[in-house]
Parts: sequence; C-alpha cells; structure tokens
Amino acid sequence: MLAPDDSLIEVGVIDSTGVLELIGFIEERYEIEVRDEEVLPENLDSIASITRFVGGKVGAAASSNGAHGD
Amino acid sequence: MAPTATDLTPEALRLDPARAVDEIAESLRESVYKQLRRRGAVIGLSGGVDSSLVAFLCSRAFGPERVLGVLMPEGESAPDTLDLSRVSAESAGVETVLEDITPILAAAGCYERRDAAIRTVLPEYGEGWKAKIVLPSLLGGDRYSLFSVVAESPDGERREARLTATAYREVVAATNFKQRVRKMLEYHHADRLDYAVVGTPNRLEYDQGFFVKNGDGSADVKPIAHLYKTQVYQLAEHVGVPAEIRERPPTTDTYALEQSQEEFYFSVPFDKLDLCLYAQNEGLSVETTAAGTGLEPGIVERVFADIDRKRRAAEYLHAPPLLVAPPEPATP
Repeated sequence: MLAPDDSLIEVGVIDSTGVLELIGFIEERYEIEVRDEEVLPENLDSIASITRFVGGKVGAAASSNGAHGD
Repeated sequence: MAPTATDLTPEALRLDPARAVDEIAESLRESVYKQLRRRGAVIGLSGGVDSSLVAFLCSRAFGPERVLGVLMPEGESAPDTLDLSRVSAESAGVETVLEDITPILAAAGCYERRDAAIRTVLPEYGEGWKAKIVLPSLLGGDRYSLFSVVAESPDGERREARLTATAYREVVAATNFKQRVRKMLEYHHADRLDYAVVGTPNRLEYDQGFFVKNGDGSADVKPIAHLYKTQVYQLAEHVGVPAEIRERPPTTDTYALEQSQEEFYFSVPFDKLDLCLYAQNEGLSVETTAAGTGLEPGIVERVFADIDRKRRAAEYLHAPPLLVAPPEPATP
C-alpha cells in the first residue's frame, strides 16, 4: 500500500520515462504547464507532494484568470 | 575486517591480462565448439573498443580464419565508424563483410517514424537537421533527469526540448531498428557459415540493460559481459587493439548528432561508474565509495539508487520468453 509521502522513484512506481508520463498527465488533466525548473522531487516524488504542487499551480492559474476577468 | 577508504582504488579492477585472455579464449572454444557445436564466430564490428577486443579474443580462440567481422554502417553513423571498424578487423586479422543497412532502415520507416516523433516536441525539426536524445547528468543537482531531444539545424543552430513519454518511446522504438537490423544480418552470416554470433556487451552494459532486446542484446555467447569497462580497456591494450580505437570516446552511434553513452544513459563518467558498480557489488559503504571515487557521498547514494533502478528495468530485457505451465493431465 502506497503512503502519501512514499517516494515514487524509490518504491519503484515510476522511472525516468514514468516522470515524463506523470508530467504529461498533470499538464493534460489540469491544463497547466510544468516548467523544466519545476521538475523536482519535492514537487513530484510522492502523492502528497504532487497534490501540493498541482494544488498550488491550479490555484495560481485560477487567481490569475480571475484577475484578467475583472 | 571492515572496508576502509583504501579498499577502493582503480587498482581493485586491475586484471592479470594474459591470464584473463587465456581464460576467455578457452571459454569461447568450450562454448562455441562443444556446447553450441558451431565452427567459428560472427561479430558486428562498430569500431569501438568492446567489439574490437571481442574480435581479438575470437581470433585468439578460433584462429582468424574462423572469424567474420560484419561492418554495418548506416547513413547517420559517425564519419569514422567504418574506417575504425576496418582498422579493428585488420589488426585482429579477421575477414570482413560490408553491409550498408541504410536501405533496410529506410524501408522499415526507422528515420521517418523517428522524425515524426521528434516533430511532436520540436515542430521545426526537418530535412537536414540532426538530433540526439540526452539525459542530464546525475551529478548536476537535485532535478530529475529527464530525456530531452537536442537538435541541430542545417545552419548549426541548436534547439533542445523535453520529450513527452510518448515521443520518447516512439523515438527509441524507431531507432531500435538499427540494433535489430544489425543483429538480423549477423545471424544471417552465422547461419550461412555455421558460426555462432558473439555479442560484445561489457559488464556495465549487460548489468545495467544498456542494449536493445533482440538487438545488440541478442547473441549466442557474450565473452566480455563479466568485464568492467576499465578492464575492457586494460585487455584491449594488452592484446594490441590500436590506440585510435582505445582512445575514441564510447558512443552509441545511434543518433545523427554525436552522442556519448554517458550523455544518453549512464549520466556519470565511466571510470567512476565502474568503481561505483564494483563497490555496490562488493557491498562497500557509501563513505568508502565516495572516498575511492572522489564523488560526494550524496552523489554516490544517487548512483547506487540509479544502479538498482536500472537493474530492475533490465529484468525485462534479460527475461527469456515466459511460458505457460504445462496443464495437469485430465482426470477421467
């Protein structure tokens, strides 16, 4: 059973291609861009870190869209 | 006694070269003549140090007249590949046959499929461009190593783009035609001559899965798969592989832009990776390995983890076809 803070790389859930897979999924599913400098273990290496990272990006996108909408 | 920093030096990998060569030649004769019941050896010659050493070893084991070197350049091979392949065959004294594999690759769609995949991340890539796939160094900080395509326009302008998982797999699947076509031709000549196909992976490549399944990973016998890369260089010098081959940086010779194996796959310089692999096989600690290689302990930890990951990924490459268990006899 995978815990929220387990390292996906260390547990062997994903590898180098898996990281590309994960980035592609996040970009498509949440309509956000993952920049090269954001491809860090602290953003993508566990369920908890992905949740934080995507939550932050989606929130930022929503507020910037909101600002444009005003 | 517990290992100390002095336990890991490049000396740990030094062989008695004369003895190692005799042992390999004896093992080759045993495998090819007695077990496989074939009359000689076919080797794909790339002009690199591994295949050159194998040509010398086979020449020693079977006599040069029972060894055939197959030269298989294609349109994107490095300019010196063919010349160096000939140099290695001549110095080992073995006959060669030239097979330009470009038409077969073109017919299979190798180039076309690869280019289409690259264009999904780099739309300007087209006629006259050259490309390669790179994996950033593990030594370069905490970022994930991600596969990128580096392309050069006909004007010499360089562009780099991160690959998507789909594009990466498409590019690899297309370029794998190169290794598989070469192996197909090696087996053609082996069948024709009643020879065995002798593979050329060294220990690092074999252990870490740096080969294409049913491509360069396929062979009847692999006589240097137990040798670390630095040991390959040591034996190559001992048997007389010419310096121009020994001094050429290891390359994949798979992509049009010149690409080192380090760039594509290993992410750490060879001599250090050899020592790390040895240290891990021998159960040496991170601290001992760091002291012995000059790498930071944190980097050694990452290299150890990377070795384990690549080993796990290589299980698929090494696996023979899996069979279904025979059924139980029907009960009346």
